[in-house]
Amino acid sequence: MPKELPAPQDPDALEYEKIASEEPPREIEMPENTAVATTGSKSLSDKLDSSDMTDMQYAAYRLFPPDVASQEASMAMIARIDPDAFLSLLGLRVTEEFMQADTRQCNFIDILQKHYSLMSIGRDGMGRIDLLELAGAARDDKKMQTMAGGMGG
Amino acid sequence: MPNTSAQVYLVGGMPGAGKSNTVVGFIVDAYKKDPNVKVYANFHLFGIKYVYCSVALMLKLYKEGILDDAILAIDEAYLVAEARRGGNPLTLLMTYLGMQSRKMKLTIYIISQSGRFIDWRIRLIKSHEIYCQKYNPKTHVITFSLKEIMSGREKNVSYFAPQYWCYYDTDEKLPPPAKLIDRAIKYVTNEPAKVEEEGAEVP
Repeated sequence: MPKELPAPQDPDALEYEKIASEEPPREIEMPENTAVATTGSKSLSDKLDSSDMTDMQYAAYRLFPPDVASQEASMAMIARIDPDAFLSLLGLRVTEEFMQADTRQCNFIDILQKHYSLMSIGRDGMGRIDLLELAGAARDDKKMQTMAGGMGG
Repeated sequence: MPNTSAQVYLVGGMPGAGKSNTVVGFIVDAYKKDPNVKVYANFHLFGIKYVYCSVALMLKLYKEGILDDAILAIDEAYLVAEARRGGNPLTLLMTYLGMQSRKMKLTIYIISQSGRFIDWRIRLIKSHEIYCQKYNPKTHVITFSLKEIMSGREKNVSYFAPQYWCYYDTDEKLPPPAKLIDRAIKYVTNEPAKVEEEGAEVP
């Protein structure tokens, strides 16, 4: 419930007080069996402050996750790698990381898998192609929305 | 949402996508933050202090210069700013209201299924565009996109809708202007009855 309102000072506020009214909230049945209903939910304003990503931003995040990709890795994922050079480059990258890592703690299979995945995307060029496809799809979607009578002027 | 931000929000989406729910969410959050905020709406609100503002009252308040420094919510906005009746006095006045929203310190929420239903001048002056994409009946989450026109920034927001259900009635109907209905009835019923009585042919 809102706090007690102080006496208004300006004439417009006085006029507002004369014509404003307040009815009690409606009695409604809150839905059950939803995760949010049991754990509580953020208000709309709170949700506005958090950063929900657009579809494109989410797709880019999934394609090039920041926790995995260093600048080198990002370049490998985007660049086209010649198939003949793939194995040699893979060997070089794995060897370099393995030699710099603490051998008591590192996992060779993890290192190999990581570089293989990053470079596979690069070899097929799929990272760049995926993003371009998504960009095209997003643009087409927006165009369709505008033509169908969206909010645009 | 501060009431002195003076923004014009165009809120669109398919029926049942959560347009009114979203606007009520903005209003309720603003009211909880500042109970002194003035709220005018052309539909009924519950649980908060506001002015139920029929179109006639809204225009009267505008004329008397009282409608300022407030939140104004207009549901079914095509009833007051119909795109095909741009020369209509009501549409003209609503357009002027929108254009002077900054000087009047009004935050205006204009709700309509499509922007095409509303006079294009109001579409032109919008500061934000909200498009309600969907309401998920299983999770009761509404998802909308919010676009800031000046910067072009866009973001998707999802929130739990039922927390605002007690503040408004989703089934409330807003009647069209009475004179318009009368004119439409006259249009379809005028003349033919008289002609039949005299036995003349209907042209």
